Amino acid sequence: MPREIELLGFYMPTLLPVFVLAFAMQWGLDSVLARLGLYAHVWHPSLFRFSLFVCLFGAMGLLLYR
Amino acid sequence: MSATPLPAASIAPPTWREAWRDWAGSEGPAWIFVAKTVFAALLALWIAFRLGFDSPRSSMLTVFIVAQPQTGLVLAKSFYRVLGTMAGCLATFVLVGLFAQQRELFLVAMAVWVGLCTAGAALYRNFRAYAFVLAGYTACLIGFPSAQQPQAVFSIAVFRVSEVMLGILCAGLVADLVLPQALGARLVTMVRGSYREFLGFVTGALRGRLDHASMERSHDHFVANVIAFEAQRDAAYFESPDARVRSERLRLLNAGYMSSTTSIHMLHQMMQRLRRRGCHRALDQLAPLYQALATELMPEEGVMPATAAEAAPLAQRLAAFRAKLPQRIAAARTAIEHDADRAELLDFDSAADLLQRFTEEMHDYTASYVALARPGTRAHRPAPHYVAHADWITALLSGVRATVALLSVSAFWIASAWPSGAGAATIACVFCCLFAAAPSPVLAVRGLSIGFIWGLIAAFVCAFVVLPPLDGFPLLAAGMTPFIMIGVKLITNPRTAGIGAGYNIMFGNIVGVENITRFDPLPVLNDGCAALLGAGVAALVFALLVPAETRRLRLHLVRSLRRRALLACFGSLNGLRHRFENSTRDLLGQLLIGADRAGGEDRRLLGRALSVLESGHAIIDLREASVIGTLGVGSRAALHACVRSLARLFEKPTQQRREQALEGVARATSRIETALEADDIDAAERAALKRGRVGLHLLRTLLLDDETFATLSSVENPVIAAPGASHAA
Repeated sequence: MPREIELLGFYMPTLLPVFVLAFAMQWGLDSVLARLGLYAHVWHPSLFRFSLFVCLFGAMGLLLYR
Repeated sequence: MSATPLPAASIAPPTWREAWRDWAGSEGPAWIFVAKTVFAALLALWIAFRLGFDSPRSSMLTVFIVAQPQTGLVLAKSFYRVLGTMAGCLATFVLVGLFAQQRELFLVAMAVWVGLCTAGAALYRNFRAYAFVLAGYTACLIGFPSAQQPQAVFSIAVFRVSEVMLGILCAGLVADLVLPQALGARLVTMVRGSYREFLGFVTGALRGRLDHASMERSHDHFVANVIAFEAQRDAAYFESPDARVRSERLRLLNAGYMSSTTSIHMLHQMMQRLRRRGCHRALDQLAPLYQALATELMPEEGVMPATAAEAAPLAQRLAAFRAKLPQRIAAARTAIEHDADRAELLDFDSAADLLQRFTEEMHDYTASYVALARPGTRAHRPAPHYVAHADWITALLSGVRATVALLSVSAFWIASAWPSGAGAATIACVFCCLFAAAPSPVLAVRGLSIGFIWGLIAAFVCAFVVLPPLDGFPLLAAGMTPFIMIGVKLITNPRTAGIGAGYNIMFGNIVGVENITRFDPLPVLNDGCAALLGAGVAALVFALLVPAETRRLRLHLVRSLRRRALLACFGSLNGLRHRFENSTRDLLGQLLIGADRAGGEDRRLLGRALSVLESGHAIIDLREASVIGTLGVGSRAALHACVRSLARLFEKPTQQRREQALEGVARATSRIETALEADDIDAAERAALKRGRVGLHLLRTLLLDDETFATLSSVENPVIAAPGASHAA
């Protein structure tokens, strides 16, 4: 994957769309987990959500910069 | 000394632990909020420095602006801030692209854009309005610097968006991760509180223990509750997936709450009218039904359900009662059928219909309350959306005000070639957008301006006394912290919130920490004066250009309250009841905020809204009766003519129109009665026709009632509205 992509004539780091993608994935995963009732067993739900996002974004970012 | 010895307990000083607990309970949350906000602001500032942004202070300012005690509120405000910033950026590209060479054209185009955004903000009035505010002033923030160097517009915009995003990320993460105070928890308390309050109110009203004044006071409170709840629910949506799952059911709950509060009041009005006219037989038959409903809702010596789960048996009792009620009503009707005349029977039918409707709504409300206790389930029926009343004239006026403010500051800027003109124009624009929908914008501008002055002083002290000897980010942070804490602490108190916001904005802007440190008091003073001038122009425009508090504008809104009935007359029947009720109540809520309570204006408004709601529901009943299949062409035309004559009356109530409407109602009544005598209609159609018949009777009663007519026409015909004037219809 290139580390910079072009959109409508502007160059931007690929990490930006990856960030948006990770955010969307987290949003979906989050609602699934909430429907399964996972958050009743989690000590700090928002910390859990944030960590989940960091994992997703970090994994995708590492794939990009491998 | 001959002092009598006091009991030991009262003189013993509170132990340290007690004092601490006391303080932590009352002041603790506020200080947690202060600490979180300061931390988030400094974090944003540090990251902005490390990333080498153009103006790191924008990130810090963003944190100040979105800072709210509850996470949901922060996230909602952030979300709309992002949307608004994006829209503002795009608008700037267009404006700079088109008019960069012509400063006059550019400023006029900018003023029009800001006017449009302000009108949008005034139209929406909740968090969504904030997106419009941002779209308006982001265009100024980016547009003014980039008009002077059009090639740089893209990079200025990218920096602006990045700075805002960074501030939002920091504010959101700190609010959500460090000692979070969830909005969801507050919503739960709110839901439980309003259910119990309403239950107590209903049982009191059904048992006849509440007088008219306290009923009115409670209704006032209910109207405010519905609006506040909707705002909180909207914000909680952003907080967690749990809240998103529950959001639809909360909307259903609020709709149920709204319609039950209306029905109980309509029922009360009906009973009052029956009592005034001395319909004792109907009243005697209805009283046991009320008592029975009150007993089902809360047995004497019973306990209020404290949580949703505890209300489950109540919902079952209500369902049983709801199912049995038609039979009981029919039994009560046969008891008086022999010795009551037709009019009294119809009165009984109207009251019984309202009781039935209230029971159904109360059951629905309780059922949606109970459903909240079962997490993960879907709403048991589709939840209607909240329908706010948007007033185009008010919105348009706000837009014009903002355009005028921006144009006059721009003219002054061009004429005087003032270096800080852009700052003044921006602040004028921010104020006009921000307070477009405020009930008393001049007061709000004054609060913010006082905050500006204090912020300017604090920034001056901080930038030229405290900061110069300090070196490095930790010391900078330490030097700024006390100043920031003052502003954030001011925000936590609702009375000083405006001053605190002004203080923060001014302090953050003026203290002007940048990557290259400058020591120059002159521009600081210039910028400060520019901000104050901008605020002054905004205040002037608000005060001079059709002020929001003007009698005329208020009368216009009061008149639109009556014209809501036109929606009932002509709106599409699909979901009409909810739309009509919701927008009427929303408008009532807007009007009640600025009502003169001492002069009894709130009571008059309430009376007016209730009459409109009563008539509107009756009109909808009538229209539903008019669409059934077996109705003859002539009858249908008569019903439509009746609806039209009512619409004319609500458009402009005059004596002549009132008589025409009465004629229309009489004609429609005879048509429906003929239709009811036919044999070839099925049960559902018969029920619809009966409801229409009852609705017509209610409308006739309302039209004949001088008090109701006076409430409805008090704006146009002050003579009729005056006490003592009577009309023999």
